[in-house]
Amino acid sequence: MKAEGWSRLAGEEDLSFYPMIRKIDVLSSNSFLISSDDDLILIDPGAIPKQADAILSVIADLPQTQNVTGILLTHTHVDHCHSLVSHPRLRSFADRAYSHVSGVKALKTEDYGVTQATLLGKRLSPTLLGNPLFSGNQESGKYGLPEETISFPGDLEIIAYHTPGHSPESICYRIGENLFIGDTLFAGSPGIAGMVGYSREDLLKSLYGLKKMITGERISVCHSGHGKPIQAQDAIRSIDLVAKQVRELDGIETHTPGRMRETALFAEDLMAEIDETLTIISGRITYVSHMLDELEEGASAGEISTVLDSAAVDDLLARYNSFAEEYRRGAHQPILLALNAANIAGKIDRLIDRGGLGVVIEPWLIDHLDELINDYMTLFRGFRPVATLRDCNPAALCRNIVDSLDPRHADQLLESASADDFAASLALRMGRVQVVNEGSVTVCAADENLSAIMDPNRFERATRTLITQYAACGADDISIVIHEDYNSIMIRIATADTPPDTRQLRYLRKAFALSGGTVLRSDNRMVVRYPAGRTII
Amino acid sequence: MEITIAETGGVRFADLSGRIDSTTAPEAETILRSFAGEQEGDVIVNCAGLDYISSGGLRILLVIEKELKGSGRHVILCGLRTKVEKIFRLTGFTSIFTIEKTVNDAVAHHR
Repeated sequence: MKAEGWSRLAGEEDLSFYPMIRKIDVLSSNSFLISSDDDLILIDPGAIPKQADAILSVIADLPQTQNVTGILLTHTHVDHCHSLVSHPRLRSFADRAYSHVSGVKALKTEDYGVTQATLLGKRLSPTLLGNPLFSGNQESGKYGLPEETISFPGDLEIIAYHTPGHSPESICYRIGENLFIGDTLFAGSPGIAGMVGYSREDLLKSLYGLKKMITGERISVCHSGHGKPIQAQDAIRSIDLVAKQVRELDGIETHTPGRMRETALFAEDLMAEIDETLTIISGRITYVSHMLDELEEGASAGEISTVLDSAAVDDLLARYNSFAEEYRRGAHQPILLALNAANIAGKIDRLIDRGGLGVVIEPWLIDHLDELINDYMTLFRGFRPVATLRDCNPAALCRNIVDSLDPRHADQLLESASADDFAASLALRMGRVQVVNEGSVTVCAADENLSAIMDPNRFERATRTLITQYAACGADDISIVIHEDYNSIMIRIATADTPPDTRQLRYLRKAFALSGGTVLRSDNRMVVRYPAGRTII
Repeated sequence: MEITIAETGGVRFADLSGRIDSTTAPEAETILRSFAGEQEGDVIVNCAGLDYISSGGLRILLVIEKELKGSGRHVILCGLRTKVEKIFRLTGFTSIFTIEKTVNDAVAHHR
C-alpha cells in the first residue's frame, strides 16, 4: 500500500486529502481520507486489518484531535467495506457510515451474495449503518443519475450519485472537481462482470450518465477504488472502453461460488496443460537450436533460440505454480486462483509470437496452446467455450491425424531450393519430434462413411493430444475403433499400456466433451459417443 | 528442489528431487556443475525424486551435457518418473541424453 501523505484535494483550498493507494487486487480497495476544519471523511475502509490500523494511525496523528464524521461506501463488496464490519474501532463508527439503502440492508442481513463475502471467503457479522442513501424516490438529475446531497456536521457537502451496474448499491461521490468512482472502471472486466448483483443494462446507463457528468461538472480527477487516480480525459476514454466491453458481454453467467470453484478447477487443469505444452514448445526450440549447433549451423541455431522468451515464460509458470500450491494448501479462495490463472494466461498470450514459433513448431501444437488460453479466458469471462458442430467423417479425420503424426508427412526437405530454405526446412523437421512410432496407431472403422456431429478441430486436437500422451507414456500399440451404435457414433481410442495421469485425463475428458462428445470412459481407453450425423459419401 | 550426492558400488551420483523450474534451475546448475567438476568420467543424475521439470530445467541439463561432451564425457539420467520421462520424449531430449531405468543400470553403463 502506498500512502501519499496529506495534500490539498484538487480544486479545494479548504480540504486536505490523504489517499491510500494499493496495487490492484481483490483483497482490498483503496481508502481515502478527506479532512476539513470540522469534518473528517473516510471513503471505503477496505478489508485488511493493517490498512484499517494505518487509517486510524493517520487520524491519530492529525495535529488537532478530529473525529470521523462520515464513512462513505462506494458499494458493499467486502474488499471495500469489510473493515467496517470487522475492525473493532472502525465498526464503532458504523452509525456515521453511508451507503445505498440496499447496501445497508445487505450488511444488516449478512448478505453473503451481494457483498461477495462467499466468493472472497470473508465472514460477516450483522452491522447497522446509520445513514441509508437513496431511500426515497430520488429523481434522476440532469445527467440521468439519481443524486443526493450529503451534509456533514461540519458543513462539508458531498454529492452522491447512484450508479448501479457493477452492483445494485454502487455510488459515486463528488467533491468539487473530484469524483470517487469505486469499481466503475473494472465493472466490465473478466471475472468482475457477472458477479452477483451485476446488471448490464444498469451499468450501461450509469456509464452514460457518468460520462456526461464528468464533462458537465468539469471533473478533473477520478479516484478509483483500485489503482491510481485517473485524469478526467483518461477516465472518459476508460468509460467508453468499459461500455464497449459490457455491450459485448451479452449472455454472461453469474459468478456463483459453485461456478467459481468449477472455474478454478478448470483453471488448474488448463494451466497444467498450458505449462506442459509450453515446456514441450520451449524444450523443442532448445532441442532444435542444439541440433543445429551440432551441425555447425550456428547462425540458424541462434535465430531459432530467440523465437520464444523461454525464461520469461518459465518465470510466469513458476509464479503460477507457486500460487496454485498455496491454493491447494487452502491459503486462497477459488476466485483468487481463477484471477491469478487469468493474469498469467493473459501475459503468456502476449509473449507468444505465433509467426516466430511456426518456424520450428508444428501448427497443431500452437493451435492447441491457443485453444487452451482461449478456452480458459472464455470461461473466466463468464461464458462457455464454444464448439462448432457439424457433420464429419470421423474415420477420415482419424486417418488424417495418424498420417500426420509421422514427421516425414508434408516433408519439404527434399524440395528446398537454397541453403537457407534447407536450414529452415531442417529446423521445422527437427521441431516435429517423432513421439508416436510408425505403425503403432491403427484405425478401424466399421464403415468408412460413418458420420458424426462434432467440432472437427476440437476433436482433432483432443485426439492428437491423447495419442501423443499415450505414446509419450510408453504405449506402442494404440487402436482407434469407430462404430455405429443406434443413433450414435462410438469412438474408442485405447492402449494396453499406462494411461496419462488423472489430471491430464480430466483435461482430455473436457476436451472431448467440448468437441461435442459424451465421454463414457477415460483411462487407457477413451470412449466417446457422438450423435450420428447424415451419412457422408 | 534438492540435490544430494550419494554413492552405490563405489560410484557417486547426484540424487535430484522436487521441482526444477526457473526459481530452482540456477541452483541446480551450480550444484551439478560442481559435482561434474569433482568427478571423472560420466555424470550420473538420479531423477527418481524429480516431480517436475520446466524448459529451464531441460536447458541446464543440456548445458552440463555440452560442457562434458568436449572431454568425451556425458550426463547419464536414470530413474525418470513417467511424467518427467514423457517431457523428455515430447521434446526430443531422449535423443540427446543417455537414459537408464535405474541407478544400477546407470552405474553399469558408467563402467
